[in-house]
Amino acid sequence: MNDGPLYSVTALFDTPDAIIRAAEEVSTGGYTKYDVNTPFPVHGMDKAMKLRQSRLGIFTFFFGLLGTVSIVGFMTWVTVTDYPLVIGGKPFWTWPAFVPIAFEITVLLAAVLTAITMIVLYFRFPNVSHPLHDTPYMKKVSSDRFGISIQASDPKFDEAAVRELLRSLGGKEIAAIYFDAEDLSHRQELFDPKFLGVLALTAVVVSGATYFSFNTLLDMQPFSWMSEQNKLKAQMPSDFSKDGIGMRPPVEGTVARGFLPYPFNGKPEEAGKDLVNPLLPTPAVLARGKAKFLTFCSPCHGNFARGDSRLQGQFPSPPTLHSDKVRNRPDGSIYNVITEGQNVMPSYASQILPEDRWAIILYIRALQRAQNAKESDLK
Amino acid sequence: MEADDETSRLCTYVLPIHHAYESWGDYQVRTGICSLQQPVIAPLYDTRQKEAVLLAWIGGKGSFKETIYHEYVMRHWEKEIFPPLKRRVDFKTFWYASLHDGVVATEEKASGALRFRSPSLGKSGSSSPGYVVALTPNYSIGDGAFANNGWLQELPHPISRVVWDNYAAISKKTAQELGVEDNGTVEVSLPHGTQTFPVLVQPGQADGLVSVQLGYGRWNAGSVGTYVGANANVRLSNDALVGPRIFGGAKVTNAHQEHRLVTTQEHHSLDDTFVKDLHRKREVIRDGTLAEYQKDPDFLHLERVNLQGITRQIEYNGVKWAMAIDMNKCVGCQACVASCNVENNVPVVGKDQAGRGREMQWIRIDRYYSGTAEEPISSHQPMLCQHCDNAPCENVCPVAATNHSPDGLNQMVYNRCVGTKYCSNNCPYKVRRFNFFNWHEYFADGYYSEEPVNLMFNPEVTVRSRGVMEKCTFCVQRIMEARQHAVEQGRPLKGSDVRTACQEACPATAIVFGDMNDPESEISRYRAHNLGYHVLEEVNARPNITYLAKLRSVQSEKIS
Amino acid sequence: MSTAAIDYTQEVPLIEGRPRASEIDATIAAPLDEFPKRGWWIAFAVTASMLAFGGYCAFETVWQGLGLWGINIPVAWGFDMTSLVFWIGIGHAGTLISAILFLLRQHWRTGIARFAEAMTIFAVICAGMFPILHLGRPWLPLYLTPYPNQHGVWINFMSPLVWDVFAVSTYFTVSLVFWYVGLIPDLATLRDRTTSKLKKIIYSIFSLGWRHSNRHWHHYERAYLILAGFATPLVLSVHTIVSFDFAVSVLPGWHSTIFPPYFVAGAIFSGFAMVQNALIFVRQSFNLKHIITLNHLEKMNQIIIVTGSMVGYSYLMEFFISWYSGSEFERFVFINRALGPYAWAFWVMVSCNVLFPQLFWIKKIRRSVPIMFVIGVLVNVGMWMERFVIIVTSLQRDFLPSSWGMYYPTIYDIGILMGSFGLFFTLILIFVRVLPVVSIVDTKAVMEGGQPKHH
Repeated sequence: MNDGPLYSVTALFDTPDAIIRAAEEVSTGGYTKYDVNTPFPVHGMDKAMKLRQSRLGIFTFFFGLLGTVSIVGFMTWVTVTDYPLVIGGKPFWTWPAFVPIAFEITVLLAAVLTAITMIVLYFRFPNVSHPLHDTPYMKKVSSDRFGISIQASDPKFDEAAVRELLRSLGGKEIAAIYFDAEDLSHRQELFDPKFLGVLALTAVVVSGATYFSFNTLLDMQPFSWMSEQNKLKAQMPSDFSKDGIGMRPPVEGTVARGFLPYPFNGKPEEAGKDLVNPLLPTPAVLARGKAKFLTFCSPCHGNFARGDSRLQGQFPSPPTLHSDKVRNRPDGSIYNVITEGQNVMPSYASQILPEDRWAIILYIRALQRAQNAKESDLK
Repeated sequence: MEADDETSRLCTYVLPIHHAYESWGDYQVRTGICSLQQPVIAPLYDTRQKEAVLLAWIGGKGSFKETIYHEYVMRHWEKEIFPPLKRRVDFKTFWYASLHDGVVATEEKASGALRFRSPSLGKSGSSSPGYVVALTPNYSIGDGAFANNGWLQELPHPISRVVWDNYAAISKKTAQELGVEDNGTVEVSLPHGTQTFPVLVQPGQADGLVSVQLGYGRWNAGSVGTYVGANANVRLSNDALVGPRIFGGAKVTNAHQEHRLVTTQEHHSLDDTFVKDLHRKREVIRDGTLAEYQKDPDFLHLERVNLQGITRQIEYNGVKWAMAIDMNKCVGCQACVASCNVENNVPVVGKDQAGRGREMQWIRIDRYYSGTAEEPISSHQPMLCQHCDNAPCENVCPVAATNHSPDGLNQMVYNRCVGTKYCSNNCPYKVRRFNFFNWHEYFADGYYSEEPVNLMFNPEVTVRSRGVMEKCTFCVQRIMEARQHAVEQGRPLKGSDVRTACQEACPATAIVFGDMNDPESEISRYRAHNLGYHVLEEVNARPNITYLAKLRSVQSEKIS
Repeated sequence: MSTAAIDYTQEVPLIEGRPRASEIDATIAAPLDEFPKRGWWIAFAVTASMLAFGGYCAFETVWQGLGLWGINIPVAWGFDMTSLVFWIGIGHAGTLISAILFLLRQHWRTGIARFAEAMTIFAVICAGMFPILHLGRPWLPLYLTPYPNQHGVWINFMSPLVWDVFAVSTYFTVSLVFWYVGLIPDLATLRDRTTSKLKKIIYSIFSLGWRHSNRHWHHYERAYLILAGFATPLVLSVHTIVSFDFAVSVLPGWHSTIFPPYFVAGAIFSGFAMVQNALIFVRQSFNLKHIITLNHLEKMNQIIIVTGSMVGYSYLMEFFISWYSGSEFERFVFINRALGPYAWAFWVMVSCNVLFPQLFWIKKIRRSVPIMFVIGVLVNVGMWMERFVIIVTSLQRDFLPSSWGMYYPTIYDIGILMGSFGLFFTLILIFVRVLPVVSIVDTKAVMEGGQPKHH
């Protein structure tokens, strides 16, 4: 255990007064790399060792400030920018509500980070392989004696002189402490196989548990969610009906409120004769007609109904609506075409509401008028 | 009406027929008005229209087809009803138009006035010793036809607030005579047998009169309604005084048993000064008399509550939904409660859980008594989520599961709710309901979670799981649908586009709903009415339901 | 020990009998080295079975639903929140003894500080299970924390329950850090005297390599002071925030500005009673009567009477203000507390919290262990009742008479409460066998001859 170089020379004292005096002498003697070990803090030792005030408090202040600023900033960002919600009729930035949380986070960060700073930065802990560990000196100093340890790395160190000094101060059991060669050569490797093994095991266990929890466990009893609800929605299947489809089609021959069966199926000429456009070409109606035309009709017939869409040139080409044939067709006949379809054009009855069909027709008329303008229109 | 009930058990043959909603039919409700019935859904089961069965029997073997009755009705109309009308269109067009309208006016004239037979009006109450027992149909389940309907069983009696039970209602004096109290029982002896009923002391009941509701105590009503309550139906008899329901000279004695009646409101004696008239003192119910109103129409607002806030109010610039309830029109029938249950998939919890205070109705009709046990004055007040501008519930939800929408609704986000129940604690109106169990699975062994019963759920509304809060949403699904239609039609949404379920169902049109930012809307007029007030105004929650105070037609300025 | 007249002008010896430092080591470390005796096993069996029953009730609650409890609408909080506030209150005594008495340089805290701090941590653990168990969907407690998610939604910072989350977590973390930092030198001492190889490894790890170096003590004392300085306002803030759960709501009886100081005083009150009760057992079982002396117990009783009087004053003030406010709702709630269906709970609360502790004015009672134990138990009963009365009576009869209801606890409610006590005492029983119940270092620092005479 003690086959390494010399670390320090130590001595033990019996009373707190003795150790105070010893510390004073050692520090006035010009030694800097020495330490006093006591089982509990002894009053006046800091002064005796001429230690400066601990600056730990400065860290505390900054950690606390960091806490306050970050949490208030976060809450402000959340409530004002990221997801503002009207809650209780209150304005978005309700700063009185931030006070409790800001206080708590300030305290949390200040306290916890101070402790961590102290342990990691000041003490450089954890450190279980310091040369003083497991020595008789340590055992005594842990229990009921007070000790002083003057390190060999101190510039004024001379083993004989130090031993003499300690003896003169009344120190007992003066002993030399050596580094442990094994501890010295044992360096902490980042890629230590044991460490990597533990890391890998942790990764596997944690990700496996997470996967299992979120994909299997949370779908079991008793956890209930509402992503699957015990009701029948449109287009869901159902074991209850014979055809397995949940939606029930209307009974043949029934008439729903607001609808009437279309009487002109297969009768385009009668449609042209009997159907009258119930809408007037007001700006609102034309705007609606334009919107619906651009949505439903323009992909085939082109934006201005010239038949110049992407489909032009493919057989059979969607025709232009500015031909004489279409211009002379009554509104009702065009309505029939939209409702029933014609040749390759399918029925748009399920996509365009009846009122919208009339609006589209008015818009087509407007387009037709535009393409065939007369000089008198300019006046 | 379930296929398997008490009657079917006693029958040799049971023919499964279509439900009314699956049937064709026509009706003549009065001379000159013919109406048509068409099926709204294809038959769910392997059933037949009962008229189709009869026609098949008449027509003989091989004559049945699915459309046999539909064609029969059409032919009847074509031959008998259509020709006299001399319409200018062809029959087919007329037929479709009639189906669309549902009603056709004909030219028939009434055949003459009818009169009552005077002897039948002569009978009146007896003065023979004993009690008068009146058997009345229940408000919601009627004569028992709907006993298997959990919603109707859980709909409280409008006056007594009792659920899942019937009882013998007796006056305070009669109860003292018999030596019984609430939750006791009495034995009632009628010509056709003796029956024990639980007791409810009913303020305002006539002395010596025992009222019992029919429709309970069925022994084969289905999973929900079997053995609920006591069976008074079997006591109906033509030996009654006014038959078959009102009996005179009945013997009623104390049965010395306990039977706990479950009510949705606490039952306090009208003599308890600690709690007497709190609804008046707290101005929950504000009413007046006609004379008072005529003297000063603004009598309700003589003392104005001065409410101050410390923050600026949020502005709502678009549509802002609000509701008004006219207490002059409300009779406490609870049609609104029933329709809300249906529209919003409100679960049924059962008698035991309702007894623990866990009923789930989003709207309820509170009933308050004042006056004396002999001459009580009862007030009804529909109470639902007030969609407060300064909602106390929103402030306290930790996970932001409830907040305010830009159109003024207090929103409830089910999938965010973790169930701390703080919102319910902070609601001064206590209109929030909590899913203590997975009710659809808990109640009656999951009766409502199995097919075909779960087909009744409104697909537009979430079916809530255990552990989440729910409450009235002002039928937000209907609002969203109206919004969608407005967008389709390229026009702005109007308040009158939306009718909430409760508003639609109210037979008295007591509920008004609409956009309070529209100065022309009906709701704006109601909000400005001088009889309008808010409940618990001083809490400064700024509720958006305006109640119109009831004016009682009492010949004085004060309500006694 | 001695009941002779004590001269309060003289400093009372903190440790009786003048033991030596090594004797202190041996005495305090004895329970850690010896195998538990029968008494401990019997106690453990009792507490562990209570814990097991509570665990079963909690499992059934999560499995089936909150319907197993007695809560309903309107009374949606019952035993659950009562117990939460109760346990957090118990925890506050520990921090008060550790931190506040440290700042006030009350050296008599040394005998009891370590145990009290441990009790704080265990009490907060017991408290922490209630917010999760009382959720309708207890598998989603993460929703109460602001974690980034796909919905983009955060928490509602205006809600007192969110403040609770931050406050109780902070309190738990800081108390844990404070307790652990205090333990480091003791663990080092234990490390250096243990003969068991396994224990040596464990103590070495957890003592982080502490060497008792004064250069470290120097910063350590500063850190301890800082932690104590933060823990003090933390105690006040945590129970204030817990009281906001009620004070921020609109309910009459809850919506009251007196709640923060009232709750903090009550927390210290009940916490001290619990600490006093527990210490009576600890000092008896582990021969620590000369370190946890009768004087310590007496001082704790003095604090009990001070805080108890504050609580009694608060009761009076509440009644006065409710009358003075003229609000019909406020007046009714308080009359309902005293005369309504839960009047029995109210009067138990008043007698246990206001009447019985006043007996501590009498010195003989203050220094009588059996009587003070009974009063301590009564104080805890009374304080639990106080939270019950506050929560349930305000909820059961609030604004609209139509929504009034009653609360009847079920076996699951009671079982979970029992389980929390089982958990608390089980943790204490394990603690006393695993870690030093009294701070070895602090005890040595205040013993006679521990500090230099010239300073």
